[in-house]
Amino acid sequence: MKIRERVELWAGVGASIWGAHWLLFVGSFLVFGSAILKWVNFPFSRHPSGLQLPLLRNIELLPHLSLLSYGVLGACVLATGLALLWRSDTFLAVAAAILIAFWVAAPCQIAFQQPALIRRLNAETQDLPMIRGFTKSYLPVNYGPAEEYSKHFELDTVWDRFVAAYSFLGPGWYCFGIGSLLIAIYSIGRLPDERGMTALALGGIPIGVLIIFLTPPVIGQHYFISACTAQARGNNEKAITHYRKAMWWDRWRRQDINIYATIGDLERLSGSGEDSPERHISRVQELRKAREYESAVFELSRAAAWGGVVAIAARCESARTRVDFGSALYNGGGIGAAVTQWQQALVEDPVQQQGLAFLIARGNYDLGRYQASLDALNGILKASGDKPLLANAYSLAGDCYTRLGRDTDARRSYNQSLKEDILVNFWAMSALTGD
Amino acid sequence: MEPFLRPLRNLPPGARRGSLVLVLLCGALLGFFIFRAFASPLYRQYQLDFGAAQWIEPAEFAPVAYFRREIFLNAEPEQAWLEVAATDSFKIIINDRTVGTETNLKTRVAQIYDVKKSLKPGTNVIAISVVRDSYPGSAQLLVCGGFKEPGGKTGSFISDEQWRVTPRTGIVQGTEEWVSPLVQEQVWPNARRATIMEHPVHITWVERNPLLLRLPPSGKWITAENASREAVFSASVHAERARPETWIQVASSGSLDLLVNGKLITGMAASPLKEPKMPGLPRLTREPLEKEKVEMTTPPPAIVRLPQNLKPLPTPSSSASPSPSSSPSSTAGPAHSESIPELIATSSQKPTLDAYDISYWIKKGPNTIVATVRNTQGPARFLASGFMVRKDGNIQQFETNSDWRVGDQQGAQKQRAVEAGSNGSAPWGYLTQELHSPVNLSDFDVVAKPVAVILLTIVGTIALWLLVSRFVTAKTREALRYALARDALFHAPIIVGLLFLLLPRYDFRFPISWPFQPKFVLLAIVALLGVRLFHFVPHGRITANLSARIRQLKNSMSAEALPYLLLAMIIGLGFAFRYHDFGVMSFDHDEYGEVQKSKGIWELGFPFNRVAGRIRPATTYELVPYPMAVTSRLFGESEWSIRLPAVIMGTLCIGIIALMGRRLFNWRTGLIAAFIYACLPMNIRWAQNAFHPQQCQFMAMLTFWFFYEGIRVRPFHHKYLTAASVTFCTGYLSWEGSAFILPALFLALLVVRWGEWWWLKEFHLYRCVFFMAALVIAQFSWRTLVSSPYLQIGAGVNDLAGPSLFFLKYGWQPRFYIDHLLFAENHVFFTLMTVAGIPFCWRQPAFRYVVTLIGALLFCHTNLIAALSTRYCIYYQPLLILSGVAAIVMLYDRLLLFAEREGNSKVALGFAHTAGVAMLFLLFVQSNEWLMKLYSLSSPNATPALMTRLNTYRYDHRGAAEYVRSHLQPGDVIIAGIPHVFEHYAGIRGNYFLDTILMKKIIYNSKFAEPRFMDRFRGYAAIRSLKELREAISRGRRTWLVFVPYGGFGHLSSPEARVYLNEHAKVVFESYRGKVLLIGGENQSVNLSAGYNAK
Repeated sequence: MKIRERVELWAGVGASIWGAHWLLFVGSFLVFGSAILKWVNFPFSRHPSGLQLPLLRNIELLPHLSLLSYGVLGACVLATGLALLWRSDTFLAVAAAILIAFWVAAPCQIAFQQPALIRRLNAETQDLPMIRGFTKSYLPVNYGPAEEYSKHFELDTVWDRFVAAYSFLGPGWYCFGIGSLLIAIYSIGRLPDERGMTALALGGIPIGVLIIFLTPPVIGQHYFISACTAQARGNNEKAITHYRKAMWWDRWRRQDINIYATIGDLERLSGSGEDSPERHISRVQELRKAREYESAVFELSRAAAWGGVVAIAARCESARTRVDFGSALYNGGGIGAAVTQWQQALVEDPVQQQGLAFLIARGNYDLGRYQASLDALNGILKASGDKPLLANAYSLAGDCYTRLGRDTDARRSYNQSLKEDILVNFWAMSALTGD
Repeated sequence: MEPFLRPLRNLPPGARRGSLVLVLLCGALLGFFIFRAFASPLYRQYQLDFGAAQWIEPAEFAPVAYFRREIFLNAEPEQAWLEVAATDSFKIIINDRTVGTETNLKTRVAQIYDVKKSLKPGTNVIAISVVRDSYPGSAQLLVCGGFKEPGGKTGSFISDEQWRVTPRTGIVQGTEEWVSPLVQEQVWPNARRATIMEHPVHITWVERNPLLLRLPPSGKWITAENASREAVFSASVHAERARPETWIQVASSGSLDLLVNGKLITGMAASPLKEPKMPGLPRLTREPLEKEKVEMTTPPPAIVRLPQNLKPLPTPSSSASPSPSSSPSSTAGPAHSESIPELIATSSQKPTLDAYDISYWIKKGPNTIVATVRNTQGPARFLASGFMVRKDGNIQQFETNSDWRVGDQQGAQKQRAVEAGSNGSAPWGYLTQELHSPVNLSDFDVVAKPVAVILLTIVGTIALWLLVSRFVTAKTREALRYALARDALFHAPIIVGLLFLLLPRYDFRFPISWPFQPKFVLLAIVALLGVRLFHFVPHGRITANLSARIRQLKNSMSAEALPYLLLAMIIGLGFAFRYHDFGVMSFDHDEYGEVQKSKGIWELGFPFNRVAGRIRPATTYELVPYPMAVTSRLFGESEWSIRLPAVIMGTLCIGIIALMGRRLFNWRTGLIAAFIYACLPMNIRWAQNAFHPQQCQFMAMLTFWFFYEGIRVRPFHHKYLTAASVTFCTGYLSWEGSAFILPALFLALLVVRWGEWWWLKEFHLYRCVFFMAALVIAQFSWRTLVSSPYLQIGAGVNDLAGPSLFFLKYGWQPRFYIDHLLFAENHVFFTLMTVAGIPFCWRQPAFRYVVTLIGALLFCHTNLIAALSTRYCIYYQPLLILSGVAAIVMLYDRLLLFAEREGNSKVALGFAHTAGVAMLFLLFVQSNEWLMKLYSLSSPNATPALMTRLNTYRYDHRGAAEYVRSHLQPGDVIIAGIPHVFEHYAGIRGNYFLDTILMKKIIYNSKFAEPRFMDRFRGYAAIRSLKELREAISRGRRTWLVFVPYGGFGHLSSPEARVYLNEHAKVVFESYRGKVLLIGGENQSVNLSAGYNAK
């Protein structure tokens, strides 16, 4: 009887606390929970959680815990707001405003501040079908459903880029946003007089962040349009000047190989800039069209020798060229040469071309270099978050082990493959069941 | 600003909010119309003119048909176009080259193509396959085409009885494809003129102006006098008015930047990411979507591994450098010649003639067109041709010629261009024509312009409202608050009117820009102004008679009996819809799976399958077979009797929705929701299907209703809670996914009884929860344990159907149910109204209850179950109807109350009634196909499923099985895709089951003479590889392969098996998503219409 009364008492207290503060509880749960959920959906790489997505730096090849990450900082801000709640409700409102600012900053940062990241996201989205196509063409097939990723490839305007970045955001970002808004509603409801004005003032924090992020790309876009129009009018000098201004303002444009090529074309046609990195880059497109890959790579290396931002763009393009070159070689039966090209591409651009490790592994398998194939597959297994690809990597590892006579390891690999992807994983299943 | 908005203070807070919402909404909608009509018009669409062409079809009934027509050309044409329209979907192949495909369920889909590059001198075969999924009726085709040969000789062809058609490709002898010119067309039957039921016949609109292809090619290649590599060409085109319809087609020898009056139409600066990567691999097949995999109707191209990569190299080579022979590139540096002809020959790819609609940028008077061409490998050359539609409908053409001006750079001295040849001259000949959209690089156009236009319109609407109200107050000397409220109410019918106007944009019978005509915008503005005259109508006169009539009507019949009478009528109507032709379609595999289990009920008392002599009790959908067992015992086993329980439950659901609506809200809500549910195509279709969704929906709706009845009073009503527990259990045993009802009900209880905790002491609640939880756990355990004795491989839905943290796994699609339930074509307005109703109706506990249930169930199904399907949301879909209707009825009531309290006029009341009734009518109209066919209203990600629209046929198992039965000969081998359904319809046993990619669950059976895997439905020996397939085929004289659904062919067959079957098997029968293939033996002609039930 006593226990029942006590339980009822505690239940009553708990219920009243819940009724008064449920917005805060749910909001805090979502914000803290978002730290371990994935924030960005990488098509190929491992998806970083809130604790692994850095606020100021670019994300590395393998996501790892970062103290200056959205998850850690968000949790700290919220914890501070909660700790100071007993002193004033305003602290929590400020914390909520900062959290919303973080939330707004995430897509803006991907879209405008880290061109390499959005480029990598798009490159991975486009590379994955190529790898899957390769798998379908040359390997026993895993017929399971493939994961669908964002397909927003329009990146012409600032808005397009924002939408593209937004389309890659994962559940962690959504939970963080919803949690922050709930906390904001809760804290504004508890503010004393003039709550409307305070709320408006606090709203200035996320709006300010948005303006800071948006201003440079908007100005860059203005110059880019001016450059395009000048170019269409045949005013090459003005076009080049405006392209350079657009690149100065907008980091995205600074790494856009097409702009370098366009400037190079304009320089060549107007006879200016005798030896510039842009002129080398502009030649690359013709060479690639003519399938003269080696010459294209040579031109890009000359462009990269100039250093600076253009070197980064040139090296990325060089890696892409090598990927195409390797694919063409593989198609023509030059497997060893293909593997070499892919390996060099991976050296030149280890972040965006990491999916190549799968092709390298297959090439090594074809050449009978089973241990080298296994080494390449280890890289895939560490770096990739795409389940069907992981399943295929395990299956290929199983094939390698079979060839090496390590049947136990092979069986374990095939089982791992089925664990990663059970649906119609013909490759692993047929290897396990036999004829 | 402050004085401007001061009048609003005259209104009470509630009235102020309501008024502002009405005016803002009206302003926003009007702003959107203005934006689309003037600032950013949608692209144009056109109806194709087929002239004297006739709709044709096969002589015998056939939902799949292959049409052929040979035409002879003396030379390669300089112009050729083809207009095609067909039922549901078509694919055009000309001389073995696919020209195009179009698909749109339940429409006569049309397209126009430039086919000049597909035609060649000599005999050309135009082959068109048409697949129809809507019924009744055969696959039908309408074609009109024309060509012009060099020398001016023109020719044309239309669809008529001269065309050849066959319902199956197996008619072709030998190894030739049906599209091959070597096929003897004479043995094919002639097509006949089609009988078309619907009048008028609506064909979909196309985006390309037919004149682009029909007008004779024109324009000259122009270049600068010094043949420079960079040239700026310019010309002026005079327009007699602003924005006439204007098209321009351009081609160039290098990169092209085109400006029309300073607007960049096309430019070379594009992001590299937009360009598809060219991996250099052999042509890869696109990965088909899951849906496509299931519904694939033609065999995908076989992928055969390249021989050089089949095996590892015999001796591992450490050489890293490519051999000269294998390298695709030449290492020699490019040598650029300065000779112009050579440069032209080696310069970039062949140009295309790209068409742009530039109407929006054309102004009255002279218009400047500037085109800058840059070619790093040769002289800059440019060709353009275009036309402008005049006021009188005539065409004013313009083209490049020597009148155009040319300069190296802007500001340089302009000279006359030099003509370098006409369209069609060397080196490129006549160019392929392609349709393009002008580039848009400006965020102003994408974001700022729409926001600015809509905001300005809102501001204007609010200003007008305030000014008119003040004016009216001054004139009529009434209080300002009355004028403000009444004037705000006048906006309500205009909002609904604009929404009505928006609907045709989503109806395939109208062009998408139809609602955004300037005249409609002007009409709306005039209505917005003119409606203010009603301020001065004497109050009371208009509606007095109407009120008296309504009172008279109410008195003439019993008020209590009327709703029941109406409900009976609605149920009768709903039953008629559901009963109509419900036994026509053949069983699908899911339905027949249940039928098979139902047979066990009269034998052992529980549903089971007998596979290879062993009894396999049902582990899912346990209760679904029971009603079937009863009806099949009473009426015999047929589609009619088996589906009868679903029809009955679907009809009863109408009543449940009405009564639930009445108890939760009021009679109006209940009756309107029931009426809409009765007529909604998806609900009619599922009521005609014997699988679990209808039964589960019926039980789930009872659970939702009883639970609400149980918790609406204090203390809880125990009998209703008990009833809810029982119906939950029956629903759960109909489909386990409905277990999510439990957390949804808990959440709904929290929300309905917000801030109250006394119910925690309700012991009966715990008793019910314990009972339900025990059943759920017992069933889950049973399902897991029963599966264990079998040694089986493969995966099925059962492996995924249990709850899991799906949102952490791959394959998670957070938008799936948003697209397929909330924004499916007939649900869009219900969702919008529910969302709009939340701020206004949240205080109403019943509304909170329904909305919470929808939200919780959506959340659970999206995140906690690793299987996504449109049928999984059917059981709670009526809640969406109920919440949408309830929101509108509550808003309607609010409008009435607002009109009564603040409008101070019967006119205001009349407007409130008009808006409310119109809104309900709008909801009804968009919920079915009766008036509008809003097939494109869905979310872009929601492809229409077969159960979304009426009169679409799913899988014709019956036709395929009957065909095999009637043509079977002793010694034949049968490989059945769905063994149990085949056995049912054919009345004979098959021999094998094909699963060469181990996709389905197959069970190892040691009791076969030769132990092997078998299928889990009828115990057929499973074929797991090409080797086993060949072995099975060798055992019979002829082999029949029955693939219904035909997606199974791609689904269950490995590439090797597909290649083998493509080479050795003939398609001898085709029907709705089904094919019968025959290996060995001669093909026999067959009369499909004989004994064909589906017709």
